[in-house]
Amino acid sequence: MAISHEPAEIRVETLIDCCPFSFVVDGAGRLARLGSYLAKHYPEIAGRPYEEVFACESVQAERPSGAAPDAGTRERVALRVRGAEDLQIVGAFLPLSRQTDGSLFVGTVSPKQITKVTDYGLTMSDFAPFDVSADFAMMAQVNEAVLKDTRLLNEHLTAARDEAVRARKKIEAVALVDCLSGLANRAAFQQILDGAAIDQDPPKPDEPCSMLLIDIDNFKPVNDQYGHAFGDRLIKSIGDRIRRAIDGSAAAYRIGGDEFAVILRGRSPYQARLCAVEILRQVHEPHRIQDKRISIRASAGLASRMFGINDLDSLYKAADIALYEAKRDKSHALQIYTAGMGRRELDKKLLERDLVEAVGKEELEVFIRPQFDIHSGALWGGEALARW
Amino acid sequence: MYGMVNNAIRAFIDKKHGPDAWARICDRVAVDPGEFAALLPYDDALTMKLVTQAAKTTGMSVEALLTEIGRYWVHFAARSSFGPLLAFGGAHFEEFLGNLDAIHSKIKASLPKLAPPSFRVEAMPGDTVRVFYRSTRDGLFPFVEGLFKGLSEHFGQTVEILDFEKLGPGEARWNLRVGHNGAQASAA
Repeated sequence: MAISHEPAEIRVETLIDCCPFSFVVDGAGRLARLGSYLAKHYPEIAGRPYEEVFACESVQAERPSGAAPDAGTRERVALRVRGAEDLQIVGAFLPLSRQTDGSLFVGTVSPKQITKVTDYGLTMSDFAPFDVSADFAMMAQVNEAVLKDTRLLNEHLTAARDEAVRARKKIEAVALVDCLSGLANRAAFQQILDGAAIDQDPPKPDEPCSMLLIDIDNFKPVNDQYGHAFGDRLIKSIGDRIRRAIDGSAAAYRIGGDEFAVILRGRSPYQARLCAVEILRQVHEPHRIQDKRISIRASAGLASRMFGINDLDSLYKAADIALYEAKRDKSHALQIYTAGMGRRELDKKLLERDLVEAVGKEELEVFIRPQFDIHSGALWGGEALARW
Repeated sequence: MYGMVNNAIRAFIDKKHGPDAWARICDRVAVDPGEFAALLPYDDALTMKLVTQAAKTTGMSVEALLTEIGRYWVHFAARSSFGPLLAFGGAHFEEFLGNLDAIHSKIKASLPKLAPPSFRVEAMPGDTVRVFYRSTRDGLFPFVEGLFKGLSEHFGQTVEILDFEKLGPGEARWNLRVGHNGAQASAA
């Protein structure tokens, strides 16, 4: 089929029927025909002067309000119905025909308002079949719906995650508390040593920090004499005393049956010592358990940060050495770790190492001395001695 | 099916038969009774299990229940985030049904696993229309008839099924008489 390149006259009625936002301005400047949307929503504008009805803005350049551009320039303009300027229509004026004065406006909803089409009571049928604005409007609505539901899903997931975190913290908090004393337990102590505690950062490099280890002397006989229920109450009482003696900057742990640890942060070694003395004083005060007054003794080792002892693990080891000294030397309940203690401990460890090596090298010589009963003269045993 | 469909079933049972009925259904299907993620696809088999158990729990036939859920779906969708699409799709029953494929194609662009049915509407003499339906899923004809009912209520119209013919698996044709004088109603 041959395609004619002659200019064709398109029937205005056809265009008007296809384009619900179109209209015709006659030679006298009046609105002669209206597209279906305008006819439905603004029937009162039919026959009125175009410039009275519409405010016209050029999309490309400034234009006096209301003035229509010359038809045929294909200048893109935005129109609003005066007095009801909620809907903006974008399009162009075209010459009506070569024989007739007047122009035809062909347009569609402004891209700015594509998301609000339902606010204006528009449906898909208000758009020309070839007008992709309807597709954009639907896509915008779908996007908005998907975004809204995604936000909701996100809120649900966030709430569920927060709930899970709260539940985990609650479980962890229970798991990290010693049910007898109410203090943090051994697992919590290990977490802080490992730097793995969730709600406690390890001490900063320049932050003063000390560790106090307390061991109750002769606790087993208390259990044996009064029973385990009594012993449990005594442990609780000791825990209460320790908690009362410290403030928020210190953390107390029950790390064994009758062993406690206190980490003292932000205090100088002197202040830590004063605190340790106060803790021991309170622990040594008589405890009233089941109508009985019982006094106990405790040994304690205190270590503060110093050269070579920086992290909590080193502090723990140093405090343990000091505690060992306190246990050995009963004259002082509290021993402060010194470098000398560390050397003694080192000497002990070197001796242990050399001894192991000596066994391997067979440097030990064994001497056996027989033992006799002095009355009967009979051999009843022997004594082995090792010499190195 | 996307979670939104399961949420509609949940909302329907919850509203008409109470949360205990929904909890029993979920217990039998072994699924959490909480809300489904609207924009995530779920196995069709899960949806059918929910419908089957819901029918047993409510004492309804599966077909009758599907019709009621189809009817409820329109009201559920209108209140959902996708509600504006229902308004934009048309001002009356025939217009909306005729535009439904175009609407579904836009939704599919965002929800690629959507497998929507297709509707073709033909105007017939008088006040009747012929609706051709095609779906990859078989056995949902009662749901579609519920949709007709729900849409007619949404647009304040009357729709009467004059004739139904199954054309194949998931394919059918209805002749409907559509009235335009009904008042806006809500079955929700």
